[in-house]
Amino acid sequence: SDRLVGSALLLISVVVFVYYTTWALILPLLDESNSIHSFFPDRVWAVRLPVILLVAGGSLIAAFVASVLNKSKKKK
Amino acid sequence: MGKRAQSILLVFAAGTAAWVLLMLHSVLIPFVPVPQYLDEIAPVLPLWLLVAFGAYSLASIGYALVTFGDCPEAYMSLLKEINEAKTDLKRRGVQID
Repeated sequence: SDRLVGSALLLISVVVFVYYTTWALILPLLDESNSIHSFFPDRVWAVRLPVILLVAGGSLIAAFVASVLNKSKKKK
Repeated sequence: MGKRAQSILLVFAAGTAAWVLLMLHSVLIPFVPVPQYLDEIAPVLPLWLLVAFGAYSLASIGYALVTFGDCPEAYMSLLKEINEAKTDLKRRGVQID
């Protein structure tokens, strides 16, 4: 089932890349009347979403590091 | 500094300089016409690059997972070696989980 996980990762990364590229780089090219715009949230969120994810991910990592340091300190 | 690190850093610095020039083109090169599309996507480019890099990393991990072959003989010999090491260390009085 390594193959399954691998192919899932591959699929997710391709989908994310295509969607985000279209969202951030291609949408501004098309004018407002184009129907494709209905598939994408407002373009502001193309910046907010990755930033939110980065901050959340960084906080998770920092919390993990803090808990590990705490545990090793308690052992002493 | 290693040769590869230097070339990566050079590409990075050149890209950053080009991006800063694009962002501030109205101030730095006031009479050059720049298509409006570039003006619209310039602020998003670094973030897009980051997302693209993340997608590429994920894809390379996934691809390696799909392509990497299972080696059962190596697994068996590794298990055997682990057991031998365990018995040997126990004999010498070392505690193992």
